[in-house]
Amino acid sequence: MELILGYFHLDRLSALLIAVTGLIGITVISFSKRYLRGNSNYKRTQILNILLVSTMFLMAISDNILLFWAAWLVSNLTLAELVIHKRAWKAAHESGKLARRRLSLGSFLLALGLGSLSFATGYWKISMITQSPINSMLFYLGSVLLVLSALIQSAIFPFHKWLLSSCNSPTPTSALMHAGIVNGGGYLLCRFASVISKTPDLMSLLFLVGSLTACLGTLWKLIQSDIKRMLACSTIGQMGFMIAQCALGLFPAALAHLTCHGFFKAYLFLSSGSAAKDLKKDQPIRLNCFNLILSIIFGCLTNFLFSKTLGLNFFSEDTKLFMNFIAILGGTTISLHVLRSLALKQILVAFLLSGCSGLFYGLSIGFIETLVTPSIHFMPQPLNWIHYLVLIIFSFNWFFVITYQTFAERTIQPIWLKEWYVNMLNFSQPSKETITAIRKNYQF
Amino acid sequence: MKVDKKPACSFQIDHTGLGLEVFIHKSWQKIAPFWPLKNLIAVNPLLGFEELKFEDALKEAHLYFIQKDLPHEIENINRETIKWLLPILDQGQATLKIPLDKENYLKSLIELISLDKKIVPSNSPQLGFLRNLKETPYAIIADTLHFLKIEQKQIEKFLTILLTTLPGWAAHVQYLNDWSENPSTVSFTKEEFLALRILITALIWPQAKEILNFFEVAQEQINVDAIISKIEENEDNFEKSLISKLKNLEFTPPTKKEAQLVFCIDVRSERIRKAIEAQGDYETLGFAGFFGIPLRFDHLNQNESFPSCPVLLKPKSNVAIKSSKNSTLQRISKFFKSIYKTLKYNFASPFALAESLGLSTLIWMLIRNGFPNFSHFTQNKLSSSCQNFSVIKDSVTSMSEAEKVSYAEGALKMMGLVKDFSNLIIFCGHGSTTENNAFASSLDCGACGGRKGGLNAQVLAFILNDEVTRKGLKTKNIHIPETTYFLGAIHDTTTDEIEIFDRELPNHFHSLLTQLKIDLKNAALSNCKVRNQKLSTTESNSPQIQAIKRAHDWAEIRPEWGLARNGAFIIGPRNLTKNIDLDGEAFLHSYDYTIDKEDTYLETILTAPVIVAEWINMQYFFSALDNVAFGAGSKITKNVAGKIGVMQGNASDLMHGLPLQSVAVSDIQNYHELRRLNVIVYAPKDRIDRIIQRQPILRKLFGNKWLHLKCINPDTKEIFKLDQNFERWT
Repeated sequence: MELILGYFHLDRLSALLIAVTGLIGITVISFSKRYLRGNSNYKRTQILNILLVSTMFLMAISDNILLFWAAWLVSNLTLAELVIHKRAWKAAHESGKLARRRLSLGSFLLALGLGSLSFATGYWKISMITQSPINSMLFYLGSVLLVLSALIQSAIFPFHKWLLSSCNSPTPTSALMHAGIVNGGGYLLCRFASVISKTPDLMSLLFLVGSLTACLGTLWKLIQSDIKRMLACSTIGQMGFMIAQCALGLFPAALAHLTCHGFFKAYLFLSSGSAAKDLKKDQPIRLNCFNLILSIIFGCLTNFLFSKTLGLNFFSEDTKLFMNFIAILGGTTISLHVLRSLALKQILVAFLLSGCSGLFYGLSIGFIETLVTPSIHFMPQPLNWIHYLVLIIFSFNWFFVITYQTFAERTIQPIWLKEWYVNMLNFSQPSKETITAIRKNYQF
Repeated sequence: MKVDKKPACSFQIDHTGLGLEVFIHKSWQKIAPFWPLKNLIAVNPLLGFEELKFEDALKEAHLYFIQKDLPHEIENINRETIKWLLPILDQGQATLKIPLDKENYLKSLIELISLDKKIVPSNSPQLGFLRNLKETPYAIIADTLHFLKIEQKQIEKFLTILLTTLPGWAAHVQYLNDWSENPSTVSFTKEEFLALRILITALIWPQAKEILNFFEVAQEQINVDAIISKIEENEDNFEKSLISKLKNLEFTPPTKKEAQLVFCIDVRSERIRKAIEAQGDYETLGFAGFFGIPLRFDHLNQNESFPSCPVLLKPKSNVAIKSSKNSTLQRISKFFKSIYKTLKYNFASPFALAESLGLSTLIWMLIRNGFPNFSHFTQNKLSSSCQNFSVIKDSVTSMSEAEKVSYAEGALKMMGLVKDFSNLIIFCGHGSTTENNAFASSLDCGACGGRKGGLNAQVLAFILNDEVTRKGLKTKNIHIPETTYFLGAIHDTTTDEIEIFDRELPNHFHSLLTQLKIDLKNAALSNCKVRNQKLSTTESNSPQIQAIKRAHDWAEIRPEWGLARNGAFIIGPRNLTKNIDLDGEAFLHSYDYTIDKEDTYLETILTAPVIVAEWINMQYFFSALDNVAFGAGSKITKNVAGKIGVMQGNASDLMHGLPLQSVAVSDIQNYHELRRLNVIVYAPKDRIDRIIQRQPILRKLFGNKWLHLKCINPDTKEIFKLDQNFERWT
């Protein structure tokens, strides 16, 4: 009995992953019960759904690297099968093949990575590897491979194409993919937090790649005209942000993000049939000096209450600064939305809202942080120039998106804007084999 | 039908001297319009081929729309075209919109395309061609045709192929230009669409002329005999059973009933009418769901208006409506929803948004999954957009007397209701309730422009309750007793609940109404039972609870069968069909030939509701015949694009038509039967002859066998069938 138990390890982190995957799994499986009625693949799909969820459970509790890897591999291959759905539909088959190729490569790199770590430390158990003080070349190589496989799993640029091309899958499969499988990368990094944080260079590189993906994913999302690719690009951006959080050593924050985004995205996919429902568009935000300055002040208020709730500094001196920064940007955006005119009522509403949102945001992250704290801790890093650079790029992009409409509405649009648009549009296209360009090639 | 707009500029094609616009016009005639998801209107996807015999049209359809192995260059061309069409036609999905100059639309579009390395590589020889293009769509099409070396006699065919190899997107552009409610706001014309299409074709495949050979070869291999014989077999069986039912007619003399209920001609009304008649002393009638009044409704609280009549008609009168005042809760939720959107469609704020809302989303998701009725109820409480409109009575009564009397007279005479008025007469529109369903409006009322009915019913009730109208009707020989009262209502076709708008009903009607409501409840229950069997559910709770759950469940893909299996259109008094079971497969239009002395009402019925029904029948027919070519494909993998339609998966043609789940039980078994509509008229056959002689559209549809026509002779009760040369009744 003890021999068997030795293969497993249940801590707060595994419990969290099980809770997320389980809740989403239950939702998706019961949703599919009605949604897939009359589909000849119904049974196969439900069995694969169950297999996927249970292998993710197994992955969450495995302490033995072989068992962990086997669970990882099977869950990924299961996903590829789910994506294919109907083999006769060539585009869907290609999507599945692409996902299988990428995810198998990821699994292969993971095998090498785990193997190297195991060799370097002499342990089979993940819990022992992560506690090992060793820092050899092999160990370093192992952590690089581990990080690479996490990047592929979470569809981080330049490994994003498989997720971007996966919208040929049935809607419930997309929900399971965007809320379950892609979280594997974040989970891996958090599980091996102590391993990867030993090499600061790796962390910096990871941060750059994550931030770049966060920018690209979000901008791609904003130019998409169909709901599912919009959601896929959004996931890519969100995963980039989560990886960046890991790279900043903000592991509990990354886990909070992984969990919350999972629920959020699963819901958005499942309800994507309603995408055409509300046609009314809100007026875009118009910037002027007054509302911008006032909004930034309110954004600071958001951050004040946010940081108070989480016990942070108002301006952290380490990488926790990013949490402050996102809170400020969020609060500023809300205030800008409210402050279309500078009437007293609106100022009051903006004041209250930005305050409350800071509180709410803080409580939401704080809840998950408390859940995982015994297993996972913040390991904030000292700030360097890369961090400041990314802060500037984020602010610039934020400003660009808010002011885009004023450029695009001009009679003669600047050529740089056109070039930017065309490049971004082409950049965010799925792999070309996965598009059903000729109608009759579609098969249900 | 609307006349096509004159092209903005007329251009003489340079190397042939023949007008290019004729070719463009002719190629566009092959494309039927496709309405957006907000009001999916049924249309015959082969509308452009109705001039041909049905069999020949089917051959053309196989040639143009069911080609599987198109040259692979077309694949590249289509992929790039779809990529650009998505942002061009987007109705509000993308936040950062395509940077196009509204005044120099085409020019700025071509500038964007010349920057696209996937279409024009940086050192491509085509760049020069692109830079020297003129700016009007005609000039671009002419120059590109010249560049592709298309000969004059091939132009029409070539342009047609360009449209039919991407039929869904073309169909939407056809709608935008010729059928949309506000054509003035459309910035993308049919000529511009063709210009974009031919330009991308030429840039990617300079030898695109070869496609003509491909189609020539393909034409020789088409064989539709098997399909035709299958259809004819279906039709024979259906006809035999229908005729045997109609043969043993026993007419009971009409008596005054407790209440009369007028339903839409929709096939779904047939079952609920039967169920209501079984409950008590009720008479039911059938009439087009817009109740003969072509209206445009102006929404008072919000600055918008929408037509509510068949798309073949133009609205004639305006009526004001208001939605019930938003509660504080609704206003607050609207405010938060707009903040949510701002945060979601911005930079960096989505990260914070997902983190803040994740846990609440989980709870809401579990509720929606486990307790659909509760979540539906909550959403309705919070959402301010739900369609709880009410007609403002003053805006109806303030119509001119002539207007009101003519609408009232027209409606009553056309449905044959000019005497034996009951005390309570109810006009009942219809709509469906479904959650998370992109195709929701395809289940609503086609006669009301693809929207929920009910409003027109209220308007007609107001008109008929009006003293002035009743006085006017007396001069037309229609005497409505003072004891008679009219009410509007709406039938929910998913749950079979009927809501009666009875706020102004005088007190002494209340006992009658209470009894009626009880009977309607029982009718709903018995109808749900029948419908559940058709939906082959395996659940054991009460039939109506199941139906309500289907209406509210966000995972439901088949909330109801809609108009599937429609096969007949019967014009005549209810007596004709009252004692037979038509199993929800027939449109029923009430009509009494004895009061239609000049055949005007029958002529209207044959040229308006029958045409609408033909479009519906053909939409179901082709969606069932080939759901890939003419349907929307499976809902399971649908992807709502630009808020206008659906694509399949990552990207595809705009999938016009009905989804697989609307016409099929499973992905291998159809539910809808392939058969053309059988129109059966209870009127003397020489009258029908006269109308057909007068109406070219009827000669076209009956003569080319898009519809079958039968006549039941009122005197002898004999059934005659019209042959396609209009010479003989057999």
